[in-house]
Amino acid sequence: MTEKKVIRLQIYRSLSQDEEDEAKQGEYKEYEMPYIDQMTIMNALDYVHQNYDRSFTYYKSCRIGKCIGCFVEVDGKNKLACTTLAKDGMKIGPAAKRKVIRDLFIEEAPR
Amino acid sequence: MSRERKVFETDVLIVGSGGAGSRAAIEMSRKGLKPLITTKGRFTRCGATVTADMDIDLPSQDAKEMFGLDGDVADTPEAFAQDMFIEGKYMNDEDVVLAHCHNAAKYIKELVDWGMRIDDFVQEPGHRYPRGIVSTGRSMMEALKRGTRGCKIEWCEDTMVTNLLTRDGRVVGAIGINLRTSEFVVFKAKAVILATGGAARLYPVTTAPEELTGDGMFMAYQAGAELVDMEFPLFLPACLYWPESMKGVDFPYIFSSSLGGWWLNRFGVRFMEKWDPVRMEMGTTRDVASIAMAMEALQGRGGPHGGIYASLKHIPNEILEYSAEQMPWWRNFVYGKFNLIEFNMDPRKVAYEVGPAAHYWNGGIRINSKGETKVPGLYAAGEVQGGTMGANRLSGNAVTECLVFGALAGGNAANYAKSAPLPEIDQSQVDKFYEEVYEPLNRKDGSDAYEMRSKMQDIACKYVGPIRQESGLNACIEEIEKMKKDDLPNLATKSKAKVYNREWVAALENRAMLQVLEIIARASLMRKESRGAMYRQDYTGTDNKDWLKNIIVRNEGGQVSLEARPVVTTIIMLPKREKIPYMIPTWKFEKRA
Repeated sequence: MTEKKVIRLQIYRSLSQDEEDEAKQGEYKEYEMPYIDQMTIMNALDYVHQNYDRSFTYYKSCRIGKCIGCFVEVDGKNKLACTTLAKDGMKIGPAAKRKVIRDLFIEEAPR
Repeated sequence: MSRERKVFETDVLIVGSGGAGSRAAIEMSRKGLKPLITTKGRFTRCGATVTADMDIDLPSQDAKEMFGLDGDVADTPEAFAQDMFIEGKYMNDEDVVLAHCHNAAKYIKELVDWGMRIDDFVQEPGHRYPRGIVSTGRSMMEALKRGTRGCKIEWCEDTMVTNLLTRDGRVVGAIGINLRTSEFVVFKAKAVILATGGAARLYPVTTAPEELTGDGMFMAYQAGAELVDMEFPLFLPACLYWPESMKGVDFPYIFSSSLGGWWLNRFGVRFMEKWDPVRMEMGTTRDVASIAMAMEALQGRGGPHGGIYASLKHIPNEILEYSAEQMPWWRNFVYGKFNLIEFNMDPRKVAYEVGPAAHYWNGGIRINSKGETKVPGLYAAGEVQGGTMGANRLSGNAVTECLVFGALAGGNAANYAKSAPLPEIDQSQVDKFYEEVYEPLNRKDGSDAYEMRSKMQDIACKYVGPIRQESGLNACIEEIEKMKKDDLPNLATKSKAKVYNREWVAALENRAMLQVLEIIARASLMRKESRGAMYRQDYTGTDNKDWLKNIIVRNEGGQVSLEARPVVTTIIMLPKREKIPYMIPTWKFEKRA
């Protein structure tokens, strides 16, 4: 695979960086990034954070499918960002049925 | 910029909510105290314990008598201790090891009572009897969660503790930040238990989660505690180096020992024939294997991403499909979350590019068998502690360690807190830390936290990986001194977001990581030999004549002070005082069928 591929993802962004997004009033922004083989949504989130907007935030711990902390909503379903392959055109939002804190960072269900 | 400050008062503060932290909290609760436990992430959703592809060790006789497993009654806690010393290359602390071996069964029994699954029972390399109960980190954390039910525990999640508070040489609490609000938090506590894990994130390829950046070791060092065996970070061999999304994943290593996987250099040669011809891939220990892989890559026989290859392709598909389905390791991995087929990682079709990944911290904060450090009021438990594993750890022992010492430190800290006076904090110390902690946020322009992180990881990999030598270590120290001067004091986040600012966390973690990196480099330079997880190309033998010593590290007025202290044991026999070639297995290992 030697051609330079890019993918475009739509990612939910809260309106404010300094207040919690209780009413989920943000919007989806499009981000374009280089595609590397077997790239996951977590790789994409890291890319956006490091290269486009350091205020972009999300939960990341084990990044290998063990801690089960990085749920995001992908095309309508909750999936782990770190073990889900990124595909061009995906729409990524905070995990469904959870209170949004900011961007993709959500409140855990009571445990 | 003035920020909100919140003050908590508690008998005991526990920093870290993994296996050790949560077990300490349970023990404290049993003693009638209400601990406050902080975590950078969320309970059962962070830390290394939950990621364990796990075996958990206990003496073989207890496995038989307590659980009806196929254990060997000839095994005893003392035999277990002896094996730990052999594997640890005699750097272990005898009191700590005996406490570990004598208490393992008792605390594992509780875990099983709380619902931890027993999937299998195995004998891993280095153990002379089967001692490893196979389960998963997830199952262990869920069991601990059940154990916390009914306990009075105050939880502070999304909270990063950054510094300990001391007064008159005692620990009197800590300060930190609430990541959700960027609020400053002061914890007044009679005692603090650090259960913060290791610093494996210092390396570019690691099995560890994001949080493991050496925070606890840094804080303890700053507060006057001793660190020990810091030159021996453990590398897990045959972890994925590619693809990027699966870097650090350890299943090729597990397949190598459970399914007869081969390790090949780029010429297709099974290089372990040179390094460990008796035990080979299936029977070798992590220290030898990591060094072998690193040398192959270093000498130009590796793959495109700096690793070598792990392959199951020589095994007929029929065997792979049948055998793998029977194995808990395979089931736990594949029916975990990565879809190997979707990721083009089908072991029937591809060989994997793999190599040593930073996995576990053999050394750490020096404790006694009660979990006490030299600083009154300060305890440490779990991976962050040093002395249990010496220069190398046996498979399955890390989770036993966090369980046993979580309970021991929790119990002892509780006893201490019951008779300790209510602490007086030093307000000027709090104010100083307040300024320091907000610097990267307040500073408009300066050095980039992620660039600094990258630089640290590059030099860690290059100079203090499994293979080291003098000129590299000196170059490493030079780079570190540069970063101390140029990057560290000028860190400025690009984002000033108040709610959950990840970049700010990275900047604060960099302080701890740089200090730990410096300590590893200086200790490695001092130790002129190869032992366990540390290999020096310029001193390739193990020197039991001059180096049967631990390197103790202390903060002396802001400088790293190192002291080589001779190993002392009472019941464990030490080896002959002579120089020997690195890595001769001292007894032949026979895997039971």
